[in-house]
Amino acid sequence: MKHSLPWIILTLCGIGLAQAGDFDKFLKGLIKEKTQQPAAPAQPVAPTAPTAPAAPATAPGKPADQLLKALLSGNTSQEEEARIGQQISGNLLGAAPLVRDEGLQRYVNRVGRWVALQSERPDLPWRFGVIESDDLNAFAAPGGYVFLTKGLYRKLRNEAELAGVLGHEIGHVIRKHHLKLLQKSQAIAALGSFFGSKLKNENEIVQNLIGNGAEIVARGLDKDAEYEADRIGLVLGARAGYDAYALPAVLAEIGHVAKSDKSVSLLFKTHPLPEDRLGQLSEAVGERLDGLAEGQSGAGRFYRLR
Amino acid sequence: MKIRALLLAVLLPGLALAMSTPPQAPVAAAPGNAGIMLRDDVLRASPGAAAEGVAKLGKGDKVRVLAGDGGWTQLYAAGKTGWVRILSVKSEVSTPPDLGALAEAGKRPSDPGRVVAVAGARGLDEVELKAARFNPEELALLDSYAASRADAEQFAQLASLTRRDVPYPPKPESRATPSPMSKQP
Repeated sequence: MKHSLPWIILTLCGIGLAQAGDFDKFLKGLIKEKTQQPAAPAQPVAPTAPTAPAAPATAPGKPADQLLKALLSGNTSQEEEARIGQQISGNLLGAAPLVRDEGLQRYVNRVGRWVALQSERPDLPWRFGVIESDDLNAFAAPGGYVFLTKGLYRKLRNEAELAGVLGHEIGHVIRKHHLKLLQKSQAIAALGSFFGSKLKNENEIVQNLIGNGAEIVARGLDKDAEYEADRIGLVLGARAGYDAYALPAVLAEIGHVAKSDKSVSLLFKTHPLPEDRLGQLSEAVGERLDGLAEGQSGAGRFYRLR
Repeated sequence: MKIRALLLAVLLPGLALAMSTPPQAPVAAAPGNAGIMLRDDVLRASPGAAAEGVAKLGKGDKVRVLAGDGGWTQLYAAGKTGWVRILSVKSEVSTPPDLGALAEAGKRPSDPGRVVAVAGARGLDEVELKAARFNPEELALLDSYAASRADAEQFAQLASLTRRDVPYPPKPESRATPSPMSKQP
């Protein structure tokens, strides 16, 4: 990713020259051109998407136009963030649906929201879900979406550990790690759309930006983003009144799973190894938690999977 | 933790057979795995900050890691057995060597101590994620489970969870001063 960035910039400059205008204009033109194309079958997710044939060229400020511009500039609004998160989450749920256990899902949402309330973005529309997969993994998507697999949930021993895992994912959301990843790669998407794509509406633009399906969650963030999310997860759990060492305990537990085990192959491909994450946390935490009163484990009311 | 120890106890003979090496007898002088202290800390009689201290350990001290219990790690050091915070010590062998082989051995049907693979275990790999199709019904279901701020606060109150002021620790490399509670910029 890092290596491709200079190339993208160069290419974009090239296009800018070739177009003899600024990239912004080029994008606007692109959107206009696309919205003037004949209608395609309406996407089920967005009944409001423009589908009328030969719709008049829209004024600047159309949502799709804004969304692309916002992503390019890195200034997405909360609504735009949620729009992107929605698409990623809907796709992820298409691959792994929610575990059919309302008690579990409501429990996880309450723990997650309580942890998120300790963050700088307490009032995002936070959504938490346990998904059907025996893998050990957890995912976040922009705008407040957090998922963990049933396999990982089964590894947890108490509510504090759940809080730590959710806190790590909340960390990715509040620091906009996935949006930053998109910002780095959206230039590619813009190029792709320039070279003969079929973008017709906002849905397609969002999907085009995030790639195929939910592959963005399999792409992985850089190590620093993961270490940062670990620090945030530990702190949010501690702020919420839980045992501050619960997230490290989960990392240690995951570290005991054989590296060759299929259930951790994606996790270990997209994250630094647990021992490295623990080392980084140790170094970051140092003596900072020494004065902190013992937090709760919440073992008593931990929701056990049926 | 105890379960894992049990599991290993069951698996290890199987592995030994599979690798055609004699089972290792426990060495009394050096139990557990090699570990190293990452900071000065007190070795405590039981896992808990209020537990009696049995020894003082220094950063860099070599210890033997015996077991884990949530956020605590059991050590053998300075002739004593006790507990320190999980982040105070690094286990040099975090996973037993050849655990991959162990897992492989465990999958052999003839192995009496095998790990039974869950029938129809469902993974979630890149191929599936790439091919995923948007599912609006699942997304709506997810929305229906959302907890409001008030709901979450009440839920916390029920378990007597109280907010605490804990600043984010900065990224280790950027740590300029070792002030214990420095504020995050």
